[in-house]
Amino acid sequence: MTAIDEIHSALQQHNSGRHAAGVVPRTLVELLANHAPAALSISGAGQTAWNGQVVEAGEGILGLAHWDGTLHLDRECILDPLREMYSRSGLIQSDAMLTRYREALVTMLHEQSHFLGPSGATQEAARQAFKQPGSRALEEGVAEAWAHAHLDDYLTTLGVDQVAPGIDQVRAEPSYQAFVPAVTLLTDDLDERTGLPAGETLRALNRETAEGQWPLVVDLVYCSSGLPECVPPNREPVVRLRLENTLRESFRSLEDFEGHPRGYEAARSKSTARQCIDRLNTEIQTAERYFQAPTRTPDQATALRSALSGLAPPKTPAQSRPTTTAGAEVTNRTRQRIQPTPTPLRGQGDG
Amino acid sequence: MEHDEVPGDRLARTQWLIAQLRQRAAECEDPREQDNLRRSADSLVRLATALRA
Repeated sequence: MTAIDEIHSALQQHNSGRHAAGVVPRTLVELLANHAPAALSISGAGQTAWNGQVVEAGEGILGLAHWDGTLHLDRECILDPLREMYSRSGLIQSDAMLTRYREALVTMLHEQSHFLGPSGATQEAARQAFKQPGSRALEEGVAEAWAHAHLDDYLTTLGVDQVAPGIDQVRAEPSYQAFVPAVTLLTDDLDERTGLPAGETLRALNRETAEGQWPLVVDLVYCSSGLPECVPPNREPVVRLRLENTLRESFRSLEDFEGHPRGYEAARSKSTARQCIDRLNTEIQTAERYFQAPTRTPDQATALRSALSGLAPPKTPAQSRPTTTAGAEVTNRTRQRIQPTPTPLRGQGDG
Repeated sequence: MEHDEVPGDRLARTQWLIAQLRQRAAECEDPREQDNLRRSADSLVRLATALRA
């Protein structure tokens, strides 16, 4: 049987449901059945929107998490290397081959990251939110940064470290260089602001769909500032909206760097993220001064109103789940999203 | 901002960008640059699919 036939056969077998979920994979078919539950398990997300189907990608696509829940994977760069990996199970292989397998697996994990979300999240709401400014840059950057940071855990969960000895000793370079450095700087900054353990903001964002990602960032920013103590409840939505618009506009501008050489993309991504964080701090300080000031002269009030008006008027944020305007309740909700209930490894198609 | 654009224009621009990125990937000799370009194109395919649905 040729390699092409084997892949066709593996996809057919997988999609017909004739496979073993809940086992340590020893074949490509078993990997396809178990790769999504493993991603769910290591992420702690509430659910996956994957519908259990895997198809061979067309039109030059490497990997795609389709909105209908189907996973599209490229034959040459993903399916064939993984078939080959299992055909050489346990053998010593070159670094080049191990790197090829690792790249295939990190792309698979990246695509599964797109399907992850909290319990009850819908693909329709995620799809609508993905179209909003700055959503694509954040979601892609989070998926790629998280997939690379947690790949070794994923490989161990799936037993790949036994199938391809030494795979944890080689490295694959992250793609999405217009987005990943900015996401890394922003999430590191949020960890620091909030006092969360390193990497926790990235993990929390990975458990959200596009619907909840920017609202979670705003929650973290708002609740870690002095704003809950000084902003009246009826003004909180507007202040949050200003923060969200500032963040979204910066991340939308990252799209302008896509298609350039990786080094240029990464440098501009970093500088944009630093400017974004500076703007965010300025917004917070301006709002804190405005709401803390007991009395203001007409000139001061005019200056502050001007500063708060910013470069653009507040716009409606992405549709998100119901929020509360009570600071304490927001803090509790954010805490729940940061510390989810651990998700057990489940069979393919669950959730 | 993007959401102020006419939806059809945004989709057309996204499809044009996908074609540009794929063409550059096809001409690129560095595998890492090629992957970066192809995956950016994939992300735009996800966006185009969202805009079409």
